[in-house]
This record gives sequence, C-alpha cells and structure tokens, in this order.
Amino acid sequence: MVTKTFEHLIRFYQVLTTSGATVWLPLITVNLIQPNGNRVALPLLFDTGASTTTLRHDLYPLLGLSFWDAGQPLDVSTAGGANPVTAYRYEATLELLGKAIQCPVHLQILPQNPLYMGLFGREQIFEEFGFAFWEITRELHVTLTP
Amino acid sequence: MQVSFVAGVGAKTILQSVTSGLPPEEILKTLESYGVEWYVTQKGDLMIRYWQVGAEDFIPTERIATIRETQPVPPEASTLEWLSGHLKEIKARYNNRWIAVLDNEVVADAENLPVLLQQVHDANIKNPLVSFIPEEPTIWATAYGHQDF
Repeated sequence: MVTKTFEHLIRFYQVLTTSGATVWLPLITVNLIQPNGNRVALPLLFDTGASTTTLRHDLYPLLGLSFWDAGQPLDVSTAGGANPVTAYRYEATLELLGKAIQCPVHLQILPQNPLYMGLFGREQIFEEFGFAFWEITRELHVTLTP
Repeated sequence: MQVSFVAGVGAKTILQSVTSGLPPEEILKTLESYGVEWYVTQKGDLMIRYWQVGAEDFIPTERIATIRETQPVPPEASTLEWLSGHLKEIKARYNNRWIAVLDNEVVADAENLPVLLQQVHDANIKNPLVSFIPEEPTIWATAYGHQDF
C-alpha cells in the first residue's frame, strides 16, 4: 500500500449558476509576483490537462509586458478544439502556499470567467508540489514536499 | 462527523477533543487555548491552522451563523469565497470591468487592467485578488471532447 501525506487542503468552490444548478470548481489562488515586486492574487482552475499554466491574454500587464503577443509563439491544442490556437510563452513567478516558483506561463485567449483567470497547469509547478484530487469530497490535498 | 486531517502541535489532543462529544463551542475554546486559529465554514465544517478541514459537519446547521459571527473570516479563505458568494451582485454592479478584491469588498475597479493596477498602487493596496467580470453569460461547464467542423 502506498501512503502519502498532505499538509494542506484546498476545498472546491461552490457556485450557484443562473439556471440554479450547483457547480463545484477546483480553484487555486496563487500570488503572481510582478516584476516590480508587487503581488496580486489570481484564482486559477486546477487543470492536470494543461501542460503549462495558462493565463488570460489580457493579464499581460502583470508580467510587465506592453503587449500580450510579444513572446515566443507556439501552437497549443485545446480541449474540444479541432485546430490548434496560438499561445505566447513567458516566465513568471508564482507563489502557492508560501512557496514561490519561477515557471513558464502561457498567455492565451481563454473563455471569460469571473472566478478564475487561467489554468493552473503542470510544467515545472507540479514537480514542486504533490496533489491528491478527491472529487467525492470536493477537496484538493497538497503537499509542499512531494 | 468525519474527521479529516489534523496536523501540528497538539494534533492528538485536538483529535480526541473533536471526537469526544464535547459541544463545538468548548472544542473551539480548546483550540484557542492551544493557539490554533480556527474558522467555521458556511457549511459548518471546522477549518484549523492551514485551513484544512478539521472535522466535517462539525457545527449543527442551526448554530453555524451564530458561531461564524464571532470569528473573522481569514483573508486566505475569504476572498474567493466572498467573490463566489456575491457573484450576482458584483456582476450587476461591475459588469465588463476589472476589479480588485480585498477583505471582502471590491477596493478598486477599472475598465482595463493597467488602470486597475495603478489604482491599487496609488492606494497602497497589498495583494488584492484580481478578476474580470465578463458581460457575457458565464459558461461553467468544460469538457474534453472533440468537436467536428
């Protein structure tokens, strides 16, 4: 039997939609440390299907950029989409549960949602944490020492 | 009552307290005596220390509101919870605008992000949660499916 220990628990967020349905979202709030050192908190959707953490394209001022499409372009496939779309690759410093990581982020045109500003994806970040996804109790367990 | 993770100093004692049948108020006092921060969710779960669930369904439904009133909501747990709980009102007021949220209130709003960041800087607001309130109806469901064209 494999036993793993997790020090932190992040609960899914409950949203009542306009149609009256309840939606549970696995959201993680990270601090994005801007080039000037100021922090902003960004809620992101926990997404193991996202290769890289992906932010809404119009968050580019948080990375100290003048344009969202000034970085390295690359084609990415999207869920449900037949054709790849273009994302732009940058570096950013994200902080989760007090642990700051410099990691690649993509800027991409994403559907607008008031409760999350992007996708919390795998590249580099997932190596720094351990995650256990517990849908039945709507919990995400996290360890800083995987 | 289902006990989840409890970690850190006094964990064994806390576990014993939660499962001992003592009234919730007594257990909360015990936690405070250990210097353990606690927070009761809208659902009545007890969150302690790193805002882990200490015990599910810890507070009887009829006593949740009373107990929550006595304890300030911690910033780490509150901002997104507050935003999601007030989404309807916020959408009505800040449609199509960027907002900065701190301490359970919208502390700045603007038509674009650079202006919002400038307002946040000028007001010396530290570490606000930033979001954009879209005008269009929100689509909540996502799916990993193939779409034919």
